[in-house]
Amino acid sequence: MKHYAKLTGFLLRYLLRITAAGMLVLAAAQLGWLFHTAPQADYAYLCYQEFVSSPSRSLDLNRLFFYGLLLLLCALDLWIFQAFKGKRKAFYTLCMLPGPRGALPLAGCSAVAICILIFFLWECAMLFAGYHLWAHLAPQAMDALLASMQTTDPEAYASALAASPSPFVNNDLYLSFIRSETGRLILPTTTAGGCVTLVCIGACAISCTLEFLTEDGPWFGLLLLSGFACRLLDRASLPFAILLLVIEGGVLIWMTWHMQSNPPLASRTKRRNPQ
Amino acid sequence: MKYIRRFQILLLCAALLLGYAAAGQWIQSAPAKARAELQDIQGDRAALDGFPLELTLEDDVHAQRISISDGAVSSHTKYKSPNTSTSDESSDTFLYSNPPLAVPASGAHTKLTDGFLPSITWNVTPPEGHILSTDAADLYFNLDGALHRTGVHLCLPSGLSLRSDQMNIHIGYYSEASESTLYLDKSASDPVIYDTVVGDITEYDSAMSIWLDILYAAVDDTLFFAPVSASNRSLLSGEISIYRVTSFGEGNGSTGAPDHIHTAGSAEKLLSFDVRDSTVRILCDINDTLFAVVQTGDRLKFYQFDAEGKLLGSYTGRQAIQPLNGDDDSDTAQIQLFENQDADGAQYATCMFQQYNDAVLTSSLITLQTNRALHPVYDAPGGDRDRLYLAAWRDGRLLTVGLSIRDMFYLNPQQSNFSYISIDYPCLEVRNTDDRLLYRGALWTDLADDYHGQTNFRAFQDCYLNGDPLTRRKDYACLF
Repeated sequence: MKHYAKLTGFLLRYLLRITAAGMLVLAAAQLGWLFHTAPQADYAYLCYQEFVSSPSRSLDLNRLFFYGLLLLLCALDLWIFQAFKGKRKAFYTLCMLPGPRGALPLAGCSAVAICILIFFLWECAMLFAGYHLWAHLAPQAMDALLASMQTTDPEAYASALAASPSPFVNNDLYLSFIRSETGRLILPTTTAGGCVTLVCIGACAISCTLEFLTEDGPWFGLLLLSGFACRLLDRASLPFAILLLVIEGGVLIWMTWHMQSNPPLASRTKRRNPQ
Repeated sequence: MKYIRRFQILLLCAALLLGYAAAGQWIQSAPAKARAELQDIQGDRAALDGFPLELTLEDDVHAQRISISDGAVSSHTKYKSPNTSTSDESSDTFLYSNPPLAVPASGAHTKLTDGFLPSITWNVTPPEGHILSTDAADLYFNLDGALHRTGVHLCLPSGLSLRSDQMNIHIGYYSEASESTLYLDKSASDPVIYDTVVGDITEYDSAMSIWLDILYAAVDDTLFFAPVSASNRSLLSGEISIYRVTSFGEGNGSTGAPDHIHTAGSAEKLLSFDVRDSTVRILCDINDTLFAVVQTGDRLKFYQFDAEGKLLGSYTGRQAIQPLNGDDDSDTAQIQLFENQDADGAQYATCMFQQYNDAVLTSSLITLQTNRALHPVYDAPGGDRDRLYLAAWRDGRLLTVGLSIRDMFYLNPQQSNFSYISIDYPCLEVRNTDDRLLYRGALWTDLADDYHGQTNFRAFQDCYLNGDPLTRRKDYACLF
């Protein structure tokens, strides 16, 4: 347990920095985009839900989050790749540490899972902050719209002023969580949703750990798959999600057992007598 | 510092746990904050007193139960999982009767005809007042000058489907309009086989068959019927009538009818209309009276008879309606009937007739009351109402709850022009017997407002007056 904790701490030391960078990039992208588009007249009638998730438009906070998640996964994976693949000795050293070798994949999975959980929680905070930013900017959009109507169509302008429509929908923030893929992923409200979130985190963690443990090239394919899995699994049924969870658990157990019983690089380096 | 380093993972996990707990708490309690507001658009809200209203609005993820009583609005929201469509609270006090269209009305047939469906054929030229009735005999009809014989025929009331395990059952028939007698053509005696018709008469291939639709209603053991349409309108003679069956039975009394056609019973004509511009649209039993809606030209006429056939009242709709083309499947019409009982025991039935023809909606709302004449309340202008969810009388005032539409300006960025978008919201209206609007209000709800219409669909799950007596609604489909 102590060995596991130390390994996790060691990995986290680096992965957390990458995650922090990813969080900053996400914040800049999402809030920056909101800051740019919310005051525009085109978006005067949109409520926040539609900024978070609108399939008909080219960009929304949903998509930005998933791009950010993919970026983070690639960054994590690349770091692992360059840290351990290029220099096998580093990995070998880890394996030769006194302590059960099976803790290595477990630690790898835990570290990546913690990073992704932090990322999800950060996205919750971003959606929350984005709502307040949007609320602050939405009246400017309405003013811009009315100003453009005043020049192009004075009659419509007069009617619109009289009608004084308001784009606000109370409970908008809550609805934007409920009705978007991102919201359902990062803050699930049903059991099935919770399972799907766990499945996605598990998929990302396992693909990073496989990167860590194998001798072959980068597992980008699997990584992208897990990133897409986060989107595809939205609204998956509970039995399916549990099945995937069981499969992931099985893969993790297999990795642990494999590491524990088969030391790596046995053919290349002389195996010293393990403890 | 050393301790922090030592327990950094635990601290991190604790922080994550706290963060998620807070977020989870927020999202679990957020639905409870959903509000419903009643906005007074016109009139005094005190007009709503005496109408304790309960309604449930549902969209894809929420069910919001709203209560309005004595001007106060309260709401309670539940989050429902995506696969269910009903709210968690059981609606055992709720009556929302929508009779399934596939089942014949219970009791009516057995009472009148001892266990089997009444079968009525209608012959244009036989003696006045006679109807033909067969249950399992052969049926004769004339197609292109040749008389054909076919199997059993049954009378199909509007909106019902045939239930039979016999193949080749089809709807009743008719014969040639210009001849005064029927005749047999032996060369065309092969039975013509048709498919079983279940409900949808447009499945018929009109070149192959002849059919006649009859509307049918039973009021207090008395049978009323009226022919509605036929595969060829010339098969209906110069007039369309509403008949009241005065007696049933078997016997041969009709002169000129072939022996193998049984004539039975007798019927009296209540009202007749010119077939060229009139169609009977609705015939149904309301509060033990016969309610008939006849379209004459571009007006709707409403009639009410008692079980004896006496005309209690009539009303001609004020607004013109679009002509309904029987061949065009895009025309639809429906009737919603709301029955309720006032505090003094008076029975009311409020009928909303809606026709949708080529994107134009016309509506009429009239009220019947037992022992009183038809009482017109409101001719709704076209397009104002998509659906009425409740209509109930109390103390001389009528409450209607329906969906109304508000248009808002919308800038279309692709086309750089302004267009309207529509928001629909539940609209409450109270009128008195003089059709004067006492109150109009809009019910705005947080969760159900949608600004672009298509994304989030919201539906009324139920709507009724709380307490005793309860209100009921029935839907009828119009026959073409």
